Amino acid sequence: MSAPSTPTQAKEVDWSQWICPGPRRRFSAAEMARAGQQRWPKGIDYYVLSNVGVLALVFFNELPPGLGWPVLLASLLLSLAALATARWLWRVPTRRNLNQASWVGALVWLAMAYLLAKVYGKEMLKAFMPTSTTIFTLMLSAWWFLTLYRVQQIEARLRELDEQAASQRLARRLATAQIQPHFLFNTLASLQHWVDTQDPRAAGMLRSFTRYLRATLPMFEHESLPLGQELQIVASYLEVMQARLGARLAWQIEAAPEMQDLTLPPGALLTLVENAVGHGIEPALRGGRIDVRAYREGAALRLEVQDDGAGLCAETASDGLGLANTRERLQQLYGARASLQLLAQQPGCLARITIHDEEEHRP
Amino acid sequence: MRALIADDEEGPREQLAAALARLWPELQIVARSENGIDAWDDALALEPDICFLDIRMPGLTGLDVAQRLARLSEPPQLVFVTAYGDHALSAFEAGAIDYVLKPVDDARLAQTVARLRNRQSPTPVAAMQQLLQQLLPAVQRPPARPIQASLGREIKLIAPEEVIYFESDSRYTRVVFEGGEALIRTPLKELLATLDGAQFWQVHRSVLVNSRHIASALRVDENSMQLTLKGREERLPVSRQFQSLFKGQ
Repeated sequence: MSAPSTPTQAKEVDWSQWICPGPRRRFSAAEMARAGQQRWPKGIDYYVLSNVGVLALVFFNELPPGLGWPVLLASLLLSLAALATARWLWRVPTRRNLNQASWVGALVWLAMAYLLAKVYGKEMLKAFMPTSTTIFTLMLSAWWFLTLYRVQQIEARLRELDEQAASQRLARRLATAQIQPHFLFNTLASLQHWVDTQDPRAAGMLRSFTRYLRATLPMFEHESLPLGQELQIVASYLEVMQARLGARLAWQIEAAPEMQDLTLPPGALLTLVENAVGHGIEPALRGGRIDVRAYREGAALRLEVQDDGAGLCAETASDGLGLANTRERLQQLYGARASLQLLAQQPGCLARITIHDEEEHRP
Repeated sequence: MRALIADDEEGPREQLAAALARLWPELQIVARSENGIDAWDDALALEPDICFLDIRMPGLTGLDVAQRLARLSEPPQLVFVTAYGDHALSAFEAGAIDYVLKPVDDARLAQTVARLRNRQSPTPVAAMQQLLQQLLPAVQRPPARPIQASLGREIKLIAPEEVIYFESDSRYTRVVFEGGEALIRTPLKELLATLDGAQFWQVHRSVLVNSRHIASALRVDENSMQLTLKGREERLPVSRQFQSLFKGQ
């Protein structure tokens, strides 16, 4: 993709525009489908045809006898042809099409001049020459401006759509990137107390918390993250929660070594683990246990977060922004190959991401 | 003055206790409760003047406990403790309800302490109840599960609506139902958090009664009240804290 006129290009004279004028940029079929679907403005057809018709009628009696009807018919036919060409340029506004149209137009003009001379004589040709040249030049200019306008319109629309998509992507990332303030400040509260009382737990907690922050803050700059790194973030999060909740939380992470390089949307597992802590462990009077597993089962990879806590597993109960967002980002990365399910357990909840092998999923 | 602090995490709980000890040495901290159920039970047993309640706690949330406390005959002053980002914060702000942010900042806590010390009249209870009504989500309780009581070699399933009353009996809870009674191990304070508060009325720290079976409330003297039950001989005590439940219309 190259912009037609960047500032550096504007300084130099583009001599090729003298020979074959037109926009440099060509849009791909996908770009046209995305940004070039605007309808041809029909008003132009009515405007041109009615004006040409009225002018031809006004001059009907001024013309040499016998020429009135042929001129009226010819000008309407030529206008229709010029409009059809304009519509074609609207659909495919390329430099090549503009030049093809111009050359064909020139040929038609020459053919008409030849016919005029043959049938009505050289005098008639001389009389018509200035008018027809002007009309021909105006028509070419109109096509040229139309093509330029059209290209700029599509470019602007593409830019607008790109910006929209970028801001949506950013919003989605920011939404997940939020470190929950509740988590942050509760952790700081524990930390502050242990520092005040010189409790040795402070050191370990501070280390885990730092590791967690260091990994989470830049996490969302990436489109994807290897499972190994994601699991480290999950582990440091669980270490912090372990320090805070004490005996109320037990946890374990088991991951098949060959899956370390599997790519995931950043924070996908972390969101599931945060849900397990927030909806499973914290509301349970006696706490509970969280198991994080990554393993292969046949032609699919499975990532699981299971808790045996308070167990509100209904989608509505635990689906804040987190799950819908995770699902969407999984789909961006893996399409229909990936899925995310919540399964109620007795007690607790199991969240499972399944990623099918590529071959398996091919139709 | 006597205070209760409730937070399910040790760090924040102890941090608040330490800060209060610095800023208000005369304040006596009578209970440090580790969840909402204990907070409610401790508040009934110890009758503190002030309760500092964390909002997110297992068993009963801080808001649940506050709602129960606000219905008592002489409710304690309530101060919510929460981390930044809680949805209830703006409501506290708007309703002039005391709250403390975690981690506790001495300067901010000093303002709260000054307000609590100077308060002549307690917080307007009606305003507090109205606010809590807004904040507490319309709880969709899972259908109450039957109570499982072992009677010899038999395990009897008792539907909650068949129960006439529950009574704490040292280490057990006595379940009196239509057609018998049984002992279960689940403490009363945990049971009451799972039962429908509109159906089961707590009338004493150790008594929870099905309101359908209450016949009348009798004032025995200035301080004590008793409940009579439909078709039963025994009378249940109503402690002073709960006497405002029965006031005639």
